[in-house]
Amino acid sequence: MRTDTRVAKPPPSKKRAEPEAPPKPANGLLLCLAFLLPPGLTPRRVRYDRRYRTLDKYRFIVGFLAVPLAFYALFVVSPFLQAIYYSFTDWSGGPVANFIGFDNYRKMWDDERFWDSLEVSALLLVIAPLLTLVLGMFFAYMITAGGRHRRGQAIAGVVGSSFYKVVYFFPQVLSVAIIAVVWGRVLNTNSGLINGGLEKVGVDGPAWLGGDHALGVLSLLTVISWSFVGFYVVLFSAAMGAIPKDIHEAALLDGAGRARTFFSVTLPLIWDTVRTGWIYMGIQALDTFAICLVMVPSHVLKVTPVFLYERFRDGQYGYATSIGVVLLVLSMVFSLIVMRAGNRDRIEY
Amino acid sequence: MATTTATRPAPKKGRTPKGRTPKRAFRPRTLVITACAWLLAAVFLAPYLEMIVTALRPKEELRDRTYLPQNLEWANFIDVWKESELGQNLQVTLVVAGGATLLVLLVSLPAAYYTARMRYRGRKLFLLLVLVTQMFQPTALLVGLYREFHQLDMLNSVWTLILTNAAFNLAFAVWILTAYISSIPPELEEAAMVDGTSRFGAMIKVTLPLALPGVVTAVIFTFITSWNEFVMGLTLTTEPDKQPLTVGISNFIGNYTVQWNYLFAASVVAIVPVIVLFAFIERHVVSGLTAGSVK
Repeated sequence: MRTDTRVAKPPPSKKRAEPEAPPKPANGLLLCLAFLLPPGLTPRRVRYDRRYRTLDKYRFIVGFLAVPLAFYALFVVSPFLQAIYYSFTDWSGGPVANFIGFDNYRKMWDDERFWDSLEVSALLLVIAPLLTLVLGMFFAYMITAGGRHRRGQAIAGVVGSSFYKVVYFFPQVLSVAIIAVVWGRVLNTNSGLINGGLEKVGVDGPAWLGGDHALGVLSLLTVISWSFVGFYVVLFSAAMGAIPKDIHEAALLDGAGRARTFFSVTLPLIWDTVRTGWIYMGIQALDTFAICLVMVPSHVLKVTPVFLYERFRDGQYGYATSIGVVLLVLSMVFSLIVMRAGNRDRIEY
Repeated sequence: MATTTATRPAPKKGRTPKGRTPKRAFRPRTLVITACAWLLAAVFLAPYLEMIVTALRPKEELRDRTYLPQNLEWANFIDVWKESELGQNLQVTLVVAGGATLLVLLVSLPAAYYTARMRYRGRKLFLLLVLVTQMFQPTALLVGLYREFHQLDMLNSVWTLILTNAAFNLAFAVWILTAYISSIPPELEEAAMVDGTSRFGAMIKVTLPLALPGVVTAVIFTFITSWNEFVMGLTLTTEPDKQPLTVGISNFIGNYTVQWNYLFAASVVAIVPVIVLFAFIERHVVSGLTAGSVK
């Protein structure tokens, strides 16, 4: 595979034009230049050089791999490393950043506002994946196996399953900012859709985003689940679709109902996907930022990323980064726990 | 509920014993399930309807509790265009999303090709790096990036947003393209190379066309996520006319009053391109999304 066929057969007409039988070895400078030239423009003298092969390989690596890596290092890895460094300083935007050890972390430990925000974030971290994944799995199961038997197929989705897939998936392609403003209106106390509906049935709707802590968390959970469930519907229905049909048919023949089939057959078979989804959703929940910032008034409640952003806005950059580091550590710990806890024997099919 | 399906092989009394399932009469269960499904779909769709309806509501009817306004005010769209920086914001977003998509494609395609085809030292590490950095929350990187661009004096520049958006989407693109290219047998390329094409030619003429669904998915996904990006736009730009559309929209929510009709008129403008793109590639996205993850 690594043989370079380009060099193998020079066209015969050219051979007559320059009849040097063994090409002279190229000097180093020419080789260096050839690094930047496309092979078509490289002189044959250079291309026939033994070292050209190695050069070609490295050119491949540099062009194909080094550029992406450099890009990545500059804009993802470097800010991350900088964040760790600046979390130990008192940098506030000026040219000077003094190293202050763990002072930022100590400050965080004593900061009640931080703990309040972390409480909300922790609630989201625990409940949001549960809610979203259960809903997503239910919808996915209905879509792939919830329908009646048609045309001799034992397993079929409900009628119009692709329509539902798109409906559920669509929030996934919307900007979080727009999701936040739309739901801000829907949950509005006076003119919102929900309270309008409640009024029709004679109930006075509460102020969803008006001050009550629990209602605020509930609103956040609703919006997060609404916007993410579609991703899991698609993910899980793909995983369920990959299960061979005869396994489901066998379960049906043995007399298992839909619920039984789901818990004894489908769920164990897609467990790997569920676990991955769980981790991903947990990280997303911990990273809830725009929805909370735009939708929920800041005196009601905030999640930790919003608390971080407010410190950033105040110019307390060092403190803000230390909160960011804590968030990162939290999400890694969460991933590890789910990875360990959800470790079951993989079932092959 | 479930027993009816389970006993399917055993014919019910009074039904034809063999062959095709006979045409069944309306069954209440099916009716209930369908109704529930429609109701759920309606609940999921309600926020969009609310957005469109509010975008067309005249100012005087904003506080009304009717679901539909008495008059439709199309001028909301014109007013919001004139009175805010919507035009500039839209331009910024277009340039940023387009630029980031192009950049991601240029950078991720070679990397994915190399990773899928070559066994090099650190290949696993590279893939792991890509996966782990996916987990970094943008809010955690915010100060680092801010400092970086502050030093380069690039705050409020479109390039800043192009670069950050590209960097954030690179991992997903590399991951999905690697999965796609790996699924194309390398023998096809080898055959082309035996027939006299260069490796590069084989890559362009053989592998790339076959990987096109994956490329399309990566492109559209990058475009949509860059179009929708909010956090970096919020922190790395400060001047209202240099901000992307999402940030411009969130600026409508002031501290005291919210001009809901303008807010939603702007939102409708922001999501129309996304709807069009999504409608184009809905099948690709829904299948391509899983190509990278399930395998």
